[in-house]
Amino acid sequence: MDETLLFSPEPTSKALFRLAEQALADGAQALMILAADGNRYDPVELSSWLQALPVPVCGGIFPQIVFGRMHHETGCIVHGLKGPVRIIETSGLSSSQADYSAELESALQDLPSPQTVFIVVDGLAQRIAAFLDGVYDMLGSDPVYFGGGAGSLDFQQRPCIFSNKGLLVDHAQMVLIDRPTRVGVRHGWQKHAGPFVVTQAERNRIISLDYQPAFELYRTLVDADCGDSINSENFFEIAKGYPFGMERAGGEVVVRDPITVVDGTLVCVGEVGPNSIVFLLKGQPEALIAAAESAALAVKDAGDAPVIMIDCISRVLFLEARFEEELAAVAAQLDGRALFGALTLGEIANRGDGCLEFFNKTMVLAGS
Amino acid sequence: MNPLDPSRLSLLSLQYELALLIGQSPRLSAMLRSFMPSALKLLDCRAGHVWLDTGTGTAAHCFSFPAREKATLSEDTQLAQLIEAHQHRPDAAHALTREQGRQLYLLPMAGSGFVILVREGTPLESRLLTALAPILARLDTACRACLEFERTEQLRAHAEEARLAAEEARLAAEAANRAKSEFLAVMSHEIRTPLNGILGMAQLLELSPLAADQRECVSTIQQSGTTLLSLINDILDFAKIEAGRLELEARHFALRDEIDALLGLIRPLAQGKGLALTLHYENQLPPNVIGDSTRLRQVLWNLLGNAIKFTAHGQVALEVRQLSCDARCTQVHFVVRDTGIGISPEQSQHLFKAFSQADSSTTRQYGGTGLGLAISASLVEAMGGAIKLESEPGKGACFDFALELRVSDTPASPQVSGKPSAARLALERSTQSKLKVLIAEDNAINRLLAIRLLQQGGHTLETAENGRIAVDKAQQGDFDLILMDMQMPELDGVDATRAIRTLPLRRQPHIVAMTANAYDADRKRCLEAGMNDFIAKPFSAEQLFLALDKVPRN
Repeated sequence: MDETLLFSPEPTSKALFRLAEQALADGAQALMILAADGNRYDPVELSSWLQALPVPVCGGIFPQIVFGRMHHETGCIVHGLKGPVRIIETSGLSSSQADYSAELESALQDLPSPQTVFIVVDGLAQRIAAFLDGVYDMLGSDPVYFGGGAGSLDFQQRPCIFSNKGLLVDHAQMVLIDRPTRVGVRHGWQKHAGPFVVTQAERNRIISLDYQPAFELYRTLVDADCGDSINSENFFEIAKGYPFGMERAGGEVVVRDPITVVDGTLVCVGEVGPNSIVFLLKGQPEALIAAAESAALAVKDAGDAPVIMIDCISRVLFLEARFEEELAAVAAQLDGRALFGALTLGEIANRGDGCLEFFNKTMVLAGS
Repeated sequence: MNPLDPSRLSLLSLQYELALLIGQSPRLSAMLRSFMPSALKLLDCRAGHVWLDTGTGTAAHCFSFPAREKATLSEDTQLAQLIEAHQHRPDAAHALTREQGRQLYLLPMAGSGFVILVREGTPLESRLLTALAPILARLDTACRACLEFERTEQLRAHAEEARLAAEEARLAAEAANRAKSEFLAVMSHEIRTPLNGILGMAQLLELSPLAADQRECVSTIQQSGTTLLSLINDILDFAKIEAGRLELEARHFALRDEIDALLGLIRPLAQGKGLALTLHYENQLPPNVIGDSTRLRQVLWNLLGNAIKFTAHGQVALEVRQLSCDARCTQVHFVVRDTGIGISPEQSQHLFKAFSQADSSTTRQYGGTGLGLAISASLVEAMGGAIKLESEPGKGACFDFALELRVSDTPASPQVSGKPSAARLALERSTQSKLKVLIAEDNAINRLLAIRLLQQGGHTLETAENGRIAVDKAQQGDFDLILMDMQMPELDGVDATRAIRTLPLRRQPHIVAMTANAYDADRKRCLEAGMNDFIAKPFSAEQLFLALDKVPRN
């Protein structure tokens, strides 16, 4: 399939509109737009433009984007899709009352099971895992899922999902694609301390760990290792190197990223269940880069279409200058295939063999 | 204490986490939905299915996550093999590896069902399967509890449905009963109004010079009208009893006087048939008692009337005896005995039912509605007694009942109402002092009747066709008495009375309700509105004169 992939580093909306027009002129039947948060688009202007688009549109505004083996703090990528695409949107992604299975059941009724599902969520919403359970419940284990959380690194929830309805907040978007995809999912983080019982939690907030205020215990453990003193001011600067991990039966660990501390509770990207067991993780740059390379190996032979990278923004913040090495390691495995994607607030995948999960600090590569 | 090695710690952590995922909802589907997705992620499995015995004796599929995959289960032959293996060894876990390294695990749940887990990649370790056994035992308990909860909820819902249906039926029955009572009240009013005209005019006619045959005709009109009135009263009483609106009064009365007055009234009927009417009255009975004398008289009138009606020869006897007595109460036994046609045991079974006589030919031969005994039985029951019957066909009948009446120290005031002599005195008195009377009545015949009756006393009369005119006239004229119909156009009698009572008059008139609304509630409504007295239509000349007698004179 001859699909258009366009990039502009310019932060202006005009640049975005120009790329979209070009993709449409090339015969795109749908648009996937990945834009960087640094563009600071005017949501009103963007909404009007989105509502006027003649084809289905999906995608989001992410902390950064990846194109041409580089990551960019501004700019946009427009991918013109030419196959049949169906987009389903769900609102109320923080609603404690929402029954996502029931909502999706009516939306997905009579639709054939797709081969691939690309998912964009508002990464700062509070019930992402519950939504993903609903998606998996209704679409089953056969499709390959991948996607990520849109939003801003200032952790303020604001409109961030591109839709024909406009720029949406607290929404999720599913793009059903009838084309096989292969995913590689790795993170490279290692257990450092634990296990700890999450003795009190509410959606994406850990209130207490091992019967102690969550931040108190976390601070004790982190301070002892990093030799610094973590507090609410420097929290993310230090916490980006000490995420939590939830262990699975096969030994895999799903990472949860604490991003802020509010009244002694740790706010994470994605839910942490009450009574769940968590470990404190620690990363070595070499291990993370090796994991990214391993993810690339999994999609190496998938096909010749551009590989989509969904990687966590906090890996960039953790690896800093060495993130270029991660990108290079991935690119090296792809034998010159185009690579583009987003640096996200949480990553989505089912690893091809298990349930659909919301990951943090994880490299997800999708190739078809 | 030895520290646990990491793999044992992981296993214990897994058990802890899985155990605490169980039982988050009392409903089965919600409970499994809050357990299974998280459990599958912890176990790194891609699907989970639950089979449960919900009370049928066989485990059946009841839950899948993801739900989309339940549709393929019936076609899965390898799954069928696993289930067959489970039937042979229900307590063991069964595993099967299929193409592309996908594994199926069947894990039993303490005999009530099993869980199927679908996993890809490396097989689950056997010690993990062992660790899952107690978790699934807890899940089994939770599933059973949910099923029990749902069954209880279903029963509760059915009970609530039944309660609501019963409540609806009760309300419908009450509404129907109310409608019937209202219909009877309206019909009673509609019949009483013209009957008042018939009886009243017949009374006026009787006072005029008539030929013998004309006098006989007038007498027949009066008798027929009186019979019709008695039938209407029976139907009204029955309606009140059925609607549960029967109210008994507690009045001081002289029992012997009451019995004598009753016999005085009914004796002409017995004499007319050549029957002897006897009374045996035990003299040690207390002279004054408290009770509803009107209702007691009604019951005895009915029993004696029936006895006379169904006896061709011989006698009718009333016995009033004392069964017991103390300072507060006396048990009085009333017996009505006759030598009439008697009643068979079969006939007596439905004798006290409404609209029922001994047999249908009785109605044709003796007349009556068949309500009398039903009403009497209900009245006696309301007064705390029960009517009993002893009879054999051809050997007469004996009705009896006992009532407990409170003994009164207060001598009963002599009864005047209904006694012809008192009425005559009243008529005489009413003619001695002339009154200024306003007749507020919308029915022209009844208005004329009242005018004719009152003209005999030489009173000054004015009339009003509705309540509004009555209020206007009351404001202008200085009336001694207003005879006020209750139901009138524009302004009814009750509202007109209220309006008159608020007028700044030199003196307020005496107001007497004159209405075909014969319920006690109507009487209360009239008195509450400020009326002084109440005459139910159709009224006799004597009743009207008695009412005039109560008007205060200047």
